[in-house]
Amino acid sequence: MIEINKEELQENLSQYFNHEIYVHFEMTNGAYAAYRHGKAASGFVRNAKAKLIEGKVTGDSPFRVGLKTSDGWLYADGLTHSDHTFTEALLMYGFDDDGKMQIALQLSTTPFE
Amino acid sequence: MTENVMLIFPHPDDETFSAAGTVQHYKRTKDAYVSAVSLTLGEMGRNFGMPPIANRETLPHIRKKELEDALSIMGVDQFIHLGYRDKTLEFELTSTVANHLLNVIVEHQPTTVITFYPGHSIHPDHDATGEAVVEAIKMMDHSKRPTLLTKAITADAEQHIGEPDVVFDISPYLEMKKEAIRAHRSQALEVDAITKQKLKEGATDPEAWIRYETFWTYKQSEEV
Repeated sequence: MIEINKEELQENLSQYFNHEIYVHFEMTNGAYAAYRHGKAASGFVRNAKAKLIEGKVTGDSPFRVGLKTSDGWLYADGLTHSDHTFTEALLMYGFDDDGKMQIALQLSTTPFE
Repeated sequence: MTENVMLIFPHPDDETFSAAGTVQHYKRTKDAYVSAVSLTLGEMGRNFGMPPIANRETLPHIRKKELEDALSIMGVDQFIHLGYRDKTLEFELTSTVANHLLNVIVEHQPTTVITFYPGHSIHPDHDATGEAVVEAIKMMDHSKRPTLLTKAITADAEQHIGEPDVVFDISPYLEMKKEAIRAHRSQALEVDAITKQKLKEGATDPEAWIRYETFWTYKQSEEV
C-alpha cells in the first residue's frame, strides 16, 4: 500500500475504462462508533458489476475518484492510499487520523473472493 | 470427566481479549483440552496496522495467521474456522448458525463453552454469535449441555444482568496474554482504542480490562 500519486492513479484507472468490472465499495466509521462516539454509519457493496466508461482523480490528498459507468456513477472521497498487490485489481483506500480505514473502492476484472 | 473448553467467537482477537488467561487457568489447574472456534476471519476490520500491513483482500489471510499464532501462545489445542463473513452474521438465519454450532459442539463435546453474552456485547457479530450459541445449547438434552460462560462488554452490563459470577484474575498469565494480543499485529491500534475507552468509562487501572476476565454463567430458561 502506498500513498496515492495522482497521475499514476489516473493512468491505472484508465486501464479499466470500457471494461466490465467488479466493484467492492465500503464506507464506515466503525462498528463500535455507536458505543464510543455517536452513531455508527457504514455500508458495503461486494462484487457489484459495472461497465466503466471514463473517470477522473481530483483533489489533493485526500483525493476524489469519480467514474462514469454505462448505467450511472461511482464516487469516492477521502482516498489517500492505493495498493498494487494484485495485477487484476486496483485497490484504493482512505484512512482516518487514527489509521483506521474509512473508505474503500476496489475495482477488479474478476470477482473478489 | 476431563475438562474440555471450547471458545466460540466471531472475530480473530475476541478470543484473546476475552479468555487468554482463562484458557491458561483451565489448562494448568484442570489439564483441560481447549478448542477455539472462529466464525469469521474479521474480513471487514478497519485496522490494518500503522503503516498498513495488509489490504482489504489480504486481511483475512493475515488475520488467520495472527489468530493461529495467538492460539499457539495461549496453548489452544485446536482451531476451527466456520467460514462466515465478518459483519454478515446477524443477517444469517439464527437457526442456520445455531445448527452449525450444534454440530460442532456435539462433535467435540465441550464441558464448558465460552462466548459473548447476547445483547450486551456491543458489536452486532458478537451479539449474533452469543445468540446462536445459546440457541444451539438449548437444542441439547439438559444432561448433555456444557456449562455456558458468557462475556458481556457493554459498560452498563451489570445494571442489566448483575455482577459476573465467574472472575479470573489472570495476573500470573498477564505476560502471556500480552504476547498473544501482540500476535494480532494488524489489530495493534485496537488495544489503545479499548484502553482509552475504558479510562473514559471511569477505569482507574488501564490494564484492568486485560487482567480480569469476567463471565456470566448463562442460565438457560427451563423449557425443554
